[in-house]
Amino acid sequence: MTDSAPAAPLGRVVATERRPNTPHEFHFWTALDSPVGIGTIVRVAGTQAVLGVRPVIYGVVTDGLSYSDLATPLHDVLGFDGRPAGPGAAPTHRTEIRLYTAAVLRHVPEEPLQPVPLGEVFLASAADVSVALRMDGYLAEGAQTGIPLGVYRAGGTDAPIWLDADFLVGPEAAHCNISGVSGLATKTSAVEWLLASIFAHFPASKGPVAAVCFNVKGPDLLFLDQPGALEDADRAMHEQLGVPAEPFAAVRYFAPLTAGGMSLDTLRSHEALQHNVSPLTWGLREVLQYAEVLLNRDDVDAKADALIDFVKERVLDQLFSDEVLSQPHTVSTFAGLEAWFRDLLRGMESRNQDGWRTHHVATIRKVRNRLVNIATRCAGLVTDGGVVSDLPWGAFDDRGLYVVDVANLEEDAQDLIFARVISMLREHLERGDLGVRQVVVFVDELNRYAASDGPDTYVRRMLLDIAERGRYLGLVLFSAQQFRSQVHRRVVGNAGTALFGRMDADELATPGYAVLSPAVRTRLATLEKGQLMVRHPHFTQPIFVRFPRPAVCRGRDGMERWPPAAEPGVEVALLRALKPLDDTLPLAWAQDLVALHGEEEVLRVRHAALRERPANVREYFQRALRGRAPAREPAPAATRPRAVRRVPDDDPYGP
Amino acid sequence: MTVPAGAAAGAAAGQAALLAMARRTLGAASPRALVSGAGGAPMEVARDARDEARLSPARVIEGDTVRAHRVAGEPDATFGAFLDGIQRTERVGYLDAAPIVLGSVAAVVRERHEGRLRTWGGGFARETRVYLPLALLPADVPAQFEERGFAIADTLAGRRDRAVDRSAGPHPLELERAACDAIREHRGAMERRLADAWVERGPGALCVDGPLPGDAASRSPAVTGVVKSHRELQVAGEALRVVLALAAGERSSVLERTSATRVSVATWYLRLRDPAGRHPLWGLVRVEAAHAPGGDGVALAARADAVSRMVLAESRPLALPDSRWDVMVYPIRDCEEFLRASL
Ligand SMILES: Nc1ncnc2c1ncn2[C@@H]1O[C@H](COP(=O)(O)OP(=O)(O)OP(=O)(O)O)[C@@H](O)[C@H]1O
Ligand SMILES: [Mg+2]
Repeated sequence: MTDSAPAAPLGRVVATERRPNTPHEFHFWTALDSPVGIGTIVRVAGTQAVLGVRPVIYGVVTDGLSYSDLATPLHDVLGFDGRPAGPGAAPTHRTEIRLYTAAVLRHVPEEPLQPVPLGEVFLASAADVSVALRMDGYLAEGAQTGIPLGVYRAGGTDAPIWLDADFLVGPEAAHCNISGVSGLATKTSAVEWLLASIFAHFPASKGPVAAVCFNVKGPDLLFLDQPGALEDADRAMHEQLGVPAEPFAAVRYFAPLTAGGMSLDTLRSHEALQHNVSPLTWGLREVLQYAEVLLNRDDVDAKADALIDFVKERVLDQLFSDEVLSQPHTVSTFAGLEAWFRDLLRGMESRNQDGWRTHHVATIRKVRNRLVNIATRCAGLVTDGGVVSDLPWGAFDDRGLYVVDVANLEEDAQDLIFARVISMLREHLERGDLGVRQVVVFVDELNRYAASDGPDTYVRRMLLDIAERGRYLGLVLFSAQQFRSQVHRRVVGNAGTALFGRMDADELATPGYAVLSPAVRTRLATLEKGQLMVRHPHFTQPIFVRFPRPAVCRGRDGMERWPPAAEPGVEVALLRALKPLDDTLPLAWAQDLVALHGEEEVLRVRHAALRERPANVREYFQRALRGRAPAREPAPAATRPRAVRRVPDDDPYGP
Repeated sequence: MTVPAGAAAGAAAGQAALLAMARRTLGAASPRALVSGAGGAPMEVARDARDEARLSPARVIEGDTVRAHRVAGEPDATFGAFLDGIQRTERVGYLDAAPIVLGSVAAVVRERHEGRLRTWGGGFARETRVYLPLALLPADVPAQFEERGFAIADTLAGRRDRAVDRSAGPHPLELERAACDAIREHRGAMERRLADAWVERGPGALCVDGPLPGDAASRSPAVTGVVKSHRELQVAGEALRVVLALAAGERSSVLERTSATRVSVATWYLRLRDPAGRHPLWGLVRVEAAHAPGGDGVALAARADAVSRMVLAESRPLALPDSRWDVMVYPIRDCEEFLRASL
């Protein structure tokens, strides 16, 4: 690789018997004022041709030494008469050296692989960086699968660093994991930026791509469709890397209902931002499929499993009659299931039967308790009335971003959502009918969902499954956590691309980081915001890059600009829920209904209406409520105030 | 200015490579040759032991007797450059009774710029020669060395018994010593050349390791010599007692050092460091500077003080781990390190 202007060498390779060079490592010294530092990429120009070619070696600085000609520190003490403030400055500075160790990134030519020869050392130019990191292979005309991650800067060099889409999103390798301490590592920001970069650069030949993000912490990902505050440097970097400095264009938000069922359980509840927020509510059928997620392995034995299967296959959504039952049942909601169990147990009791169709009464009781319990534990997600509102399975948009807000939910509900959303993605991708060919799933705080120790949960098995097999399907996991060592090894181990922001010293002391030199670890412990170390299959060594602030509104800022709405009164909630069916309904209509029939009754009819989607909503309500006695006392219509900001761990609205 | 050892030997080849090549050449020259191997005592050491300590009192030119003078004023770090040279003498082997010696010499002027030393442009020279007693060898032996690119020198050059009888030549060790002397002379000439160049175009004051080299340097106010070894003392008797009793920061009265072969120079003793608990010569240097005859006594004293202040300023950083750190200034050690790295 030749540069337009022949630069002056900044160092010279040295090798001694005690400190020899090898094919993977070499040493060089520089002037005292050279811009070389840990992470700097350099090029060595060999002087001796091998098989007719002068070798060129690229390396990245991994360690540095400095020393002077002082034989012992005592000599310096003598020189200063033991007084550090000494007799003024000496006229001559001691000779000192800057001696660096670099790890080899690439040999050109690659064969024969020899120890690094003596030669002059140059600062790598942008073109050198491209060769050194083997980016030339996927940036070439016609083979463009580059996804810009950031820029590498050292000395005067300012080189874009590209990841290979084939190795980031698949199929060669896939997944990306990022680690680093809270607040300083910019993990969440880095993933947001990388998604924007993928959406801007994903090669058309690989087909449409979408992302599903789980918002697991406060308002983190709730304003991705809103512009954020950028500095000029951020804008310049967006421009340099060809990523528009704009928020995501197509974002849809999903959140379950609050336990009260009045509104969505999300901090994105400001009136002005409701156009792309939809409820996430599942009925009995959706939940039963994933019942095993919520049922503790220890208490659901084979017998219980058999009964659950029986319910799923023979009872659900069909007319079921049995001599023990007082009447035929069509179970399609949790309420219906509860009625079915009650009828069954009562029938068995009256006949003094302690078994029914091979199932023992104790098993029946246990399964009933567990299943019916789900509706309570996941209130808001699992609607008793059976209304289903879901992600647009089969109609995912290219470059669409689907955010599922699970931040306020109980662990059970979170697990259920993870399990079902990921399974659905998987099934649709397998069948090729999702609407896009690949989906990036972003799971923040991965240590909570795929801990290295702790129980073997369904969610963890699922994440493992994506990590190990997802790339063949186009199902890609982007994940983040503070401490990589606390995440299951195979989940992080399968991430083809690993990013590291500012790291904690204790974490760096764990065995996973032993391959890094102490100097690189020191740099990791002192990284600034916006700096990352990246490992990528094409790069033989970790590389340090900078990336810009993502052009989206940060969660905290969003909360200030769009404070969450007070939880609406039942009337407003009713109108909002019915808006898709009829957007002409006046508030007075809803107020009258609630005043006459009471909250509970109106909500029941609302569930039914949402399920049945009548053409005439007014008439439907009138019919459904006709003949029912008006509530004795009108329900209070006062609005309930809602906390403006909510700290995730201190959820005042938890049930 | 540099005369490379030769095209084949390569100007940049290290001393070890040159020695190996010289030994191969000798081996090839005659089946009778006894080629030296590694090891053996360095040849310089053998020579130094011969030098005896002696007193050669010089005339006092500042006042009438040698007295101690406290150097007035603060140390003054105004030397702009430093000069030193080194030599390497190695036995190539013998052909019959004739020793063949490889001598490399190098010298450098290191300029000080913002506290860091660097080689003054053109201020570095390095030469290697093979020393053979030509009269004792068949003519094709020196020819073979020349063919390989070596510069050759006659060990017997300048000796009265040059036309020695082949059957009764001088003592071989004496021939070795003659080679050592020639190499030392070679190095002196090289230092002189660099000093002359500095006097001609060097910017500022030059500090030289050892006596002032050559006439130009001995006449130039820009050059100062700092002598570390005291085998030959310029004082005796009472004057010697005064010199040995100098306290740190004191100098002796100025003397005039004359010699039949050199321009006479002004010289005085200067104590760099407190010798308490050591040795009377510890921390003592002898300074040489151009002697401007006809100047009055006041001017002479002022100049001795000014030059002493410049030398005293160089007492830090210490030149440790060099064993002569009490008298060696750090930049001279730097010159030596530089030369050792390049020989
Ligand atoms: N490229 C950048 N340059 C400078 N600052 C940035 C950059 N990206 C993000 N930041 C800032 O760093 C802060 C932390 O970012 P972020 O929330 O992404 O960190 P995090 O590692 O996800 O933290 P936590 O572990 O608490 O979730 C934010 O205030 C953000 O504005
Ligand atoms: Mg975060």
